[in-house]
Amino acid sequence: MIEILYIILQVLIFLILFSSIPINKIIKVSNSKYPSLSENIAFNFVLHSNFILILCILNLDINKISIIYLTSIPLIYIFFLRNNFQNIKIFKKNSFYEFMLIFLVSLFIFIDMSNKLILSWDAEKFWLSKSLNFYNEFTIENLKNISRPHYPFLGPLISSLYWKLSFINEEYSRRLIFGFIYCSSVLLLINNLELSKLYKIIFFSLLLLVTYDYFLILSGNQEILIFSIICIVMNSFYKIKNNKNENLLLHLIIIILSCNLLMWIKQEGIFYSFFLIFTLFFIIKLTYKQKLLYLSIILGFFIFKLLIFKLYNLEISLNKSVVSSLALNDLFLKITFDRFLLVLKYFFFAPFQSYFLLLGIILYFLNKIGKTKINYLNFYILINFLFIFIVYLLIDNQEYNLKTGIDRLIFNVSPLIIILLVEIINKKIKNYFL
Amino acid sequence: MLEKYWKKKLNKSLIGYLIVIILTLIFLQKCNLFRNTYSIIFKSHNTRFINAYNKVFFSGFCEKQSHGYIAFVKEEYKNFLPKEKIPKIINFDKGRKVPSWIFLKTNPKIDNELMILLNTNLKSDKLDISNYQIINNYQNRCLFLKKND
Repeated sequence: MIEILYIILQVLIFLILFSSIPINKIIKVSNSKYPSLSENIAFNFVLHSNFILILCILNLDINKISIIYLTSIPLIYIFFLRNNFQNIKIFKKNSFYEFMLIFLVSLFIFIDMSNKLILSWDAEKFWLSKSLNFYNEFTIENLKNISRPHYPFLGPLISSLYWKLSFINEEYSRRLIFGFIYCSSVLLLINNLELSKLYKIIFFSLLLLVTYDYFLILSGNQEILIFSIICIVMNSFYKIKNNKNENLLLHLIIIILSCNLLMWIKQEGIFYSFFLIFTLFFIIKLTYKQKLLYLSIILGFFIFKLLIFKLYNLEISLNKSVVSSLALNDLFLKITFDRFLLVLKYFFFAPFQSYFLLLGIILYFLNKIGKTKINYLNFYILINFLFIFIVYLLIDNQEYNLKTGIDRLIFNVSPLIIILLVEIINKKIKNYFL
Repeated sequence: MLEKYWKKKLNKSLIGYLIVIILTLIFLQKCNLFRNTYSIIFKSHNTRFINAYNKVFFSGFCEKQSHGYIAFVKEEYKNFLPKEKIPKIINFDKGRKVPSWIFLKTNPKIDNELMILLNTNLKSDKLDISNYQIINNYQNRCLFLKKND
């Protein structure tokens, strides 16, 4: 009986925790564009995750990280609001509907997770052991003794921290944060629709129905975290493109920090970070020097990650357990007509397995018919499609990996389907009224 | 006044509200909300864990990977099991993973005094457990043993 109360409490704790640092108090935001609740949650999540990562890199165990984390949040809050306690205008006026949506949907998802309880193959093999490393009070130094030491560990780190802080002591409580952030990130994108709240709720519900699959996203895999962070970045892309220079600094900070997080979640996160930065160049006009600056920042994050891995004797490998050799000769030998056809076959059948991808393809063709120019999305679709294609062309155990992994890789980049929907609908509304 | 407000809202977008209600009900059915809520209230976590793994094709209570039996031993004998070690687990269904992660320990040491045998019915020759005391026996297929002193 008490567990259900703890689950309800957990949702409330996440809502409070990820609204704790008001964006508008840290960075000057335009008065007409106060952040919504989901934007605040996204910003806080990115900020908190980077902070937790830094604490972990300092070789602190989970107890010390928890103490520093919990004491710093009220301190930051007090620091930024010290002169302004009476005028706390954190959200837009009508955030109640967002609060209720996130609260109820997160609650339903948490209740589902507390019954399904099954871990995926990857989670059993290595993600859980990394999480247990932190939960059992070992530090980053001990990761070299855990399976797949060359894999990044941000997801297990975050999940173990919230597991430690949770009132629920069971293993599934570490995955609740993923459910919460998934729900908030989908709502974050849907909020960009220029429709009434009722229609936003309809679209939000439809997207949840199409994307929610416990075994794909909440059974311990890290794809849900990549999906959520890419949703956050896509939201920033959309805002920058449509609001010109309003809150530009805020969105650039979110993009840069999110790119850093992606590198620490999965190996392919490094590629996603670079793809997102290249996509940014299609959205705002940057000088050559500015482009070089952003690329240098991302490269700097990547080098920093390599140094940390070297410092703690964690294996540095991009290809291990995926491609046996990165030598050019060996890679060229893999580019055969049979392998090419096999990948093409799985790409052809993928939309019939994932209705979300089918929706994306339909939207893409509708966009082409409607002749809406969304260059940044076209570029992002192309670069990700090419990346997934090339990975599966060169991978070892090609058919096995295609069977078991393609839906997850596609899910990683599927926030672009949501933003494509937003672009098409908003364009249609503008054309209707003009 | 509240009644008038809601009447006005409903008249304006009745179809929209109906769509929201239908989608919500579909989502609730997908999540199995009412049954799951009942389970959380009336069943313990361990029972739910065992039931969840009984339904998957690669496991069961005492078959294939036998997550259920291991979880049962962990819960039933939690005061008996050593804190830093886990029992040795042998699964006679060859090729199956051993889910020792259920004990939630990091790089645990194996306690050779305690042993969990799974799917003993699949062992081709006779099992010699004369040096062991049977602490738990599930249908002569899964056994929890302690070495005699």
